[in-house]
Amino acid sequence: MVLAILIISFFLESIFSNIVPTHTIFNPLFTLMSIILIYPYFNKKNSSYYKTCFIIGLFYDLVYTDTIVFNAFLFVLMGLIIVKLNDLFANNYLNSGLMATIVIILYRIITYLFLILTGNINFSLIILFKSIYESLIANIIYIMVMYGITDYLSRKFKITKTT
Amino acid sequence: MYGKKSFDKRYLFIVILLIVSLLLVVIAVSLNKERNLSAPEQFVKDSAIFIGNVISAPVKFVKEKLEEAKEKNDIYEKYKKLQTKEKNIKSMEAEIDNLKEEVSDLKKTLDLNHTLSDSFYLNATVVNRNMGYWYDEITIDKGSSNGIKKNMAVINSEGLIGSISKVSKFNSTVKLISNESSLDKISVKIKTEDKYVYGLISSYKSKNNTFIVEGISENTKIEKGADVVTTGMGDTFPSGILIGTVKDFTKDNFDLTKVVEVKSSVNFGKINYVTVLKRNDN
Repeated sequence: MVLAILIISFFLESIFSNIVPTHTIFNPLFTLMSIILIYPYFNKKNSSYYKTCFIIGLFYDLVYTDTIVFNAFLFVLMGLIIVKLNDLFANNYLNSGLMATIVIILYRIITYLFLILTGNINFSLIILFKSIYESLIANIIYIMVMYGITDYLSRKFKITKTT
Repeated sequence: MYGKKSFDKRYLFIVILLIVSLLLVVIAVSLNKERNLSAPEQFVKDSAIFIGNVISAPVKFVKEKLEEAKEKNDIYEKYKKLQTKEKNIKSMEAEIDNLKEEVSDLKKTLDLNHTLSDSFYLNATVVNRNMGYWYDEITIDKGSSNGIKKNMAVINSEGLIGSISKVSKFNSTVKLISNESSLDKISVKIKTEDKYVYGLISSYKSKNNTFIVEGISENTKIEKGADVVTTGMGDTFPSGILIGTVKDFTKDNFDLTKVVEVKSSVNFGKINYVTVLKRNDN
């Protein structure tokens, strides 16, 4: 189940970006959303979860962004935050949307700060806010749809996950 | 016991600081334009994009069919436009032949091996788009095995798109000129009544799909709708590639130069097919 979620999200991100024009309010981050979806299936085995986040982040770097290990570490950091959020919130539709919002905001802010510090983009809060609101809608819809599908499949095939 | 806790916190803080510093160095190095992709990076990228192409083939097929259906609806209007353009084609062809002959004669006279507009063309399909959000890049399905090299210019039927920034064996990454973070200035020229005036593209506004061109003398008369093309100066873009048309112009803060707003001829939101140009430097 974990592998299926990761692979589908990884390639769907590319397909979606080819269909939807760029610089619209439907900017995909499906790979990042997948690490929220897969956490309950690790049954509190956090070290395996972090390793998975690192590997998928590394693939994301190599294929999509050409930054060497930046997203690998960033996905691990997001994984840490997701673990803490799962301790605070129960695992359901609404909370998965809420976690997605928090993770997207933090991911964009951290990436923005690093790019500012390395001089790759100019300082502009408008760019930051734009990047956040352009990334929210598509990804929240995606995570809620995928949550429903994975939850249904977990119940049908009796795959254990923490709630 | 209390000493051990404060020691752990300091240790953790130092580790976090080291990781952040390392990440800053990594991102600075990896976003460096001059960096070439290593062999493992090329292998992973080529493999992933190959698999992505296989998976997305049905989606692309459906998308193409939908676009075809949409174009069929507009076909009559396009036919009428083409009819009027066709009348001018023969005279334009004669003029082009005449100009080619003149350029050839001038080359011989001046003993030039190439001019700024000599190029060869390689068509490619976009397989990935703008994945890093801020990086404004696309990936095309041609790589070093097809003769692609870094810094080659990339265009489409509408105008200039960008240049090749990274190359793997079967794919390449194109950095778009609409990249708002790009610090590279592109040299352009604008047609006035009897001559060209030269300027530099300083920024891009995605909201209006316009470029800002600076460095043009305040005394110069520029008409709205004038073509803006590349000059060919510098190592990347050949001469004469369309950037857009003049939309508006204002004065800079010191009233010394004009700031020209250029409407881009390319819709950067929808790029499916591109052409890579190689300059014929002998």
